[in-house]
Amino acid sequence: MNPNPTTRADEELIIAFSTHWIKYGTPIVVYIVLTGISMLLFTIAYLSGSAPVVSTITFALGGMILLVSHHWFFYKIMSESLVEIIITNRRLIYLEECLLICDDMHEVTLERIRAVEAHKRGLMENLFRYGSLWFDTGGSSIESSRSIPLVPHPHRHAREIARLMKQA
Amino acid sequence: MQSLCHTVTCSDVETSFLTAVGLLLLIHLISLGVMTSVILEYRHIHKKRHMFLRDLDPNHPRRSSWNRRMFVGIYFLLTLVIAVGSTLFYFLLP
Repeated sequence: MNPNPTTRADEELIIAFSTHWIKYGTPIVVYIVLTGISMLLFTIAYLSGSAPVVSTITFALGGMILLVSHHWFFYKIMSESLVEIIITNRRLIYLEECLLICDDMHEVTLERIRAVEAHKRGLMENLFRYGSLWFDTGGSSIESSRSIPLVPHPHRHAREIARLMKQA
Repeated sequence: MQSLCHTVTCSDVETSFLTAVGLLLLIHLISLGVMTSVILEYRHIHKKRHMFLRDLDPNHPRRSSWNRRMFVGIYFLLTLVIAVGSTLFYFLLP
């Protein structure tokens, strides 16, 4: 008997990878900007020593911005690093993670997939070679849950999935 | 005639200063609590993912945990630096 109910006996792992590193770009930029703002507020607090009220308020504001941005940055980076795409010979699994808040597992069996499409749109996606994978599972409407964003080299993975679909 | 001016005594200043320091320490204690819970949850999910991949493929190569450890270490150290640094900076304010 299979000890893990989420895995199947004849299942074989083909590839497991994380989403593209571009996901770290926005948190890094926001963190640098907010840390800069808080440092500026600390400097103002130090320079306005003759006015204790202004000094205390700017210090408190700077401290709050620094603390909140610090925890938000590491929380975001750690959550993003746990996002994973797993392709097996039976199914495709997309694991989404927001630490302490959500732990989502989207799963599509290869038998259900009728077609797979890879999209690379815009300058950034073409420049940094990432895009999205979209699956046609036979429904009437386009659902966001059927697409996986920020996939590195999506065309290569789409080809691999198409090959596995033929074998399944 | 009683003076309308409020006289700020040394004791008032001391009390407000101690309240501010207490508040600052409380905020940093909460901050350390947030950091600990995030790190523990991260470790738990990471372990769960690793087990899941091992179940799918027992020969799956073990991923290097050095990057993860280094990142957690940086988070821990930076949180401590912010806690100590901001408290010391408050004492340095003129």
